[in-house]
Amino acid sequence: MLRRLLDVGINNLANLMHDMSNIAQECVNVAIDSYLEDKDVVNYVYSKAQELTMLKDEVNDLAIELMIRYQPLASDLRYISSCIEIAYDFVRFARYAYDIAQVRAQFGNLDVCDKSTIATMAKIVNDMLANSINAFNNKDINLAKRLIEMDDDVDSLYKESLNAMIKSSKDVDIRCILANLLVIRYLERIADHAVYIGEMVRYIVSGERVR
Amino acid sequence: MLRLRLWGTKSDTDTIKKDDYNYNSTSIDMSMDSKVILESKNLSVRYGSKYAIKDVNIKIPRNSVTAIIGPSGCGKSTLIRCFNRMNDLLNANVEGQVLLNGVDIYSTDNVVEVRRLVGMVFQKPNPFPMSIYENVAFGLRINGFKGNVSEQVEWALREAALWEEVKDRLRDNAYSLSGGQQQRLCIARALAVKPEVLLMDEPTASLDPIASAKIEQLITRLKDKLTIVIITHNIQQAARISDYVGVMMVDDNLTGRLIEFGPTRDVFENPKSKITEDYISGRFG
Repeated sequence: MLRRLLDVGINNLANLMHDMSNIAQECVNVAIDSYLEDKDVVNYVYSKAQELTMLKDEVNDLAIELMIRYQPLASDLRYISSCIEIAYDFVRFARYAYDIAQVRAQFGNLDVCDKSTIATMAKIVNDMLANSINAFNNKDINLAKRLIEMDDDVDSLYKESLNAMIKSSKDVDIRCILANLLVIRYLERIADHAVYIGEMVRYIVSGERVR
Repeated sequence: MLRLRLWGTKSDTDTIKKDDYNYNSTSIDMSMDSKVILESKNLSVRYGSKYAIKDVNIKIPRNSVTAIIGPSGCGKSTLIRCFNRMNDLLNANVEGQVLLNGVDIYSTDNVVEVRRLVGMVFQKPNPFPMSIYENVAFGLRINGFKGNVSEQVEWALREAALWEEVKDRLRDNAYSLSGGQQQRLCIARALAVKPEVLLMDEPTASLDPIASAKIEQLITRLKDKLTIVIITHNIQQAARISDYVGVMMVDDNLTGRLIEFGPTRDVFENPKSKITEDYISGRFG
């Protein structure tokens, strides 16, 4: 069977999304590691975030061109329209990664701070990020659904951490409390966007709109 | 394995697994009884011993545009010809029922009345070899119209968005019109006798893009007053102008089946049948 012209375009789109997912994942990993290990990576993460913004624009341009040229329908339409939304989610990952990197840069040395909760939460969030990308690449609807359960764990940790910080506020360096508070907030948002990607995967595969 | 044969093609890639392609009517949303104007029940058409279409159950909603799509030879024209008994002229054996407002059109001898209520426009414009005026007036006279013929002719030509272009030359021969104008004249001719349903068999296939766009605009406007069933090979046209879409396909025996029916947005965004998905995505057909 002759390959459809649209398939060439979809292939290019998939390659762009693959590149974006790798960069987004790297941004978040580097930013979290930098906070836990007290390193300054602001400039590096910023440059990667800029790269992602440019790739998002390319994804949008290509998606619109495919729609204009080929008027895709059914699963093709769902995939292409979802790529526009998921590309934005990838950009948000990088943005939150940059915000995490900025915390270390603004607050300075945070060696004295207890980051164990951050480490626990970061592990789950990294897994969610990886799972959302795998779900998208493999159109794995079961993996997409698992993200909701993982997000519940992140939300629980977030609330526990907030409560713990409030209770310990008199005994702990205020810099530690503020820095950790900001970081868990950014991690919680990264988790939310991973869930959004899972919802788009469900839409691509089944046509079901969850949001 | 069901071997799905396309008209004029035969290859290994046309072999489809049976559980992928389901010819049952589970992909058809028919939950709209109260708004139905035209309905077929177990409709089958046979030419000799060969079934052209089989067991078609469809409900056409009132005041809507329903597009019937599918590859060549799948029975689309055969199906809509059942709706105004045009198949009577082709030695076809029609089985099952076609209900117009709940009444079986095959239970009456008054075929002329059936064809007045269910008008038809064809792919190639076919005005009569008469003047523009007489083309529209002809149907009125045949049906014993007692009112003001000229008023009705003007009304029909206005409804077909043709009046302004022909009002100063109603006595000119219809063949002096362009292709797009001739097609709108044919629509006016059908409209003049106040049908309830208008069947259109690829009405823009022989027209240029501008003329086609005018017909599409006309169709969208007319659905406020009547129900339109349109056959089109142009999937994008179906997406543009229809409210509902029916998808037909030939099965292993080269018999046409209705495999999916539903609101246009649903069929084109999330088709229930894999056959529909592959057809509208251009993977075959």
